[in-house]
Amino acid sequence: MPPTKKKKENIPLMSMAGLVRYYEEEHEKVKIDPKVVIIGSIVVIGIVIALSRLVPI
Amino acid sequence: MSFMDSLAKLGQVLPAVTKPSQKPSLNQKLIWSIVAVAIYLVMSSVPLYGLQVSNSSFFSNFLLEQVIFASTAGTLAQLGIGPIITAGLIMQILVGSKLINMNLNDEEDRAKFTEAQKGLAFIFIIIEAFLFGFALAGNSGLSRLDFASIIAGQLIVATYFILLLDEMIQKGWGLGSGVSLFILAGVMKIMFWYMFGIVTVSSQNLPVGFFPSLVSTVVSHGNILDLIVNTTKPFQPDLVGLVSTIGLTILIIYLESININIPVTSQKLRGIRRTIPLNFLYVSSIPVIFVSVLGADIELFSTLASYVSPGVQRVLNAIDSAFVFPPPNTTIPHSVYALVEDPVGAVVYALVFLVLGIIFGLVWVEVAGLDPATQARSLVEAGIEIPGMRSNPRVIEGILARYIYPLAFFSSVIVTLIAVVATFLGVYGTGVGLILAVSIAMQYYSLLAYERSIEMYPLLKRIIGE
Repeated sequence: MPPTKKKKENIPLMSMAGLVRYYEEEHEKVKIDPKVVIIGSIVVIGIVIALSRLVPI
Repeated sequence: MSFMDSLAKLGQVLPAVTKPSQKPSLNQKLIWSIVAVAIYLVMSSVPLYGLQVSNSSFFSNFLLEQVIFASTAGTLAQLGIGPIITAGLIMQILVGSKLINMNLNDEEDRAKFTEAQKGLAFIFIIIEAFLFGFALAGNSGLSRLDFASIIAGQLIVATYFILLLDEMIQKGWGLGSGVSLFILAGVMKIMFWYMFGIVTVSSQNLPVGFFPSLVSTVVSHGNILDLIVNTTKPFQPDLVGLVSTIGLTILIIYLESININIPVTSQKLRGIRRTIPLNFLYVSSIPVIFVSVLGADIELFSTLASYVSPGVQRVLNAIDSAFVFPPPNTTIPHSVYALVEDPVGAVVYALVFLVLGIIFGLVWVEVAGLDPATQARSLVEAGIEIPGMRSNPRVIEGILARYIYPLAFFSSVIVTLIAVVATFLGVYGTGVGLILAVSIAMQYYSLLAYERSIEMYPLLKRIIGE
């Protein structure tokens, strides 16, 4: 059976700062919760600070 | 498999942020956005592991990147949002100019477009991270490859997290776009420092601010005239710059609020007459963004090329100097006095910005679906008609074209001229930064007003089909 087409209205077009993006389609295989993004960023910052203090090159 | 397909496949295998299962409230969106900006600002102040202070002179040339890519030299945010913006604009130009054939009205093509953007951004992250690593390796005790890998590893991970923070905000967890918020935060930081900074941070082109300089000059009975118009030092803020910053901010806000109204009637609202407002600054700050991204990328690769091929570096350097005024690596002050010291450079800078700004402004109208044909189709689909005209997209397109193309042309000219004049007057945060900051702040003001009305009057959600 051919895939049914969704309605064309309400296309989420993002164009702030000159970038056009569409997010109504989701094909990505690995999904992350936003909390993981926040915690991951903080961990990266922590590791870099710790390395600079403890193991200076 | 085409090049676009390969990029899209790469975009698909990269980790992505989930979409919210239900729309977060305005307060939740504000909290996610504030947390993302806070993390970005912390990244901007954490120096890269292994970087020597003696490398700081290497970073002082990245003036355009500092503003347009929200990058901070020598820190985890060294690449900033550069790879995201560069990849996005390349894709838009390729699709807009029909060099790559994609129909953005088709769901599959839209998905492929966004995935390919992400794939290309990731490739740029890796290339730029390693180029930086190798460029900085000269002064370290480690082998060139080891040092480059340490720096590149940090930049790849940190910049990918920046990409995810932006994606998180864009997918609906936050408000608007992360890229815009990071640019706004970066420009505001520069402006704040130009006014109140108490020390010089040479690697980030940040001087002692105007007000601390004023106090110190008055106390030490120094030369107050140099604080009115800076005639000596690069990057030293002066009074003309401060007054121009305030004056041009008011002018941009005024211009952004002007609309050209087109009378229409709506079948849904029983023929009631109303108007559709077209922004006078139809392409907003887009021409300035495009020209600056091009200049910033040339600036970036010219500095990095110096460690690969001096010949290529000389050519890129010559091109780069047309995008920055006063030219980099000179002692010309960043004030109105620069016009006296380098009038030829000023004319070249103005011409480059003006010509490229007009071209990019007109390209954007086609790329972003702001062209008369797309707008006419949307109006007809929404049941909106122009009084006295048949409800035919072709007829409406003809009428809209009379407004849209002149608006796109003149708004490109006006925005570009404001950026150029602002730079000549030595505004705080550069002319490009000022235009970006004001237009992004105004977009956020409208977005906040919209979100608040939706929360206060849920019926509106149904009317606008959310």
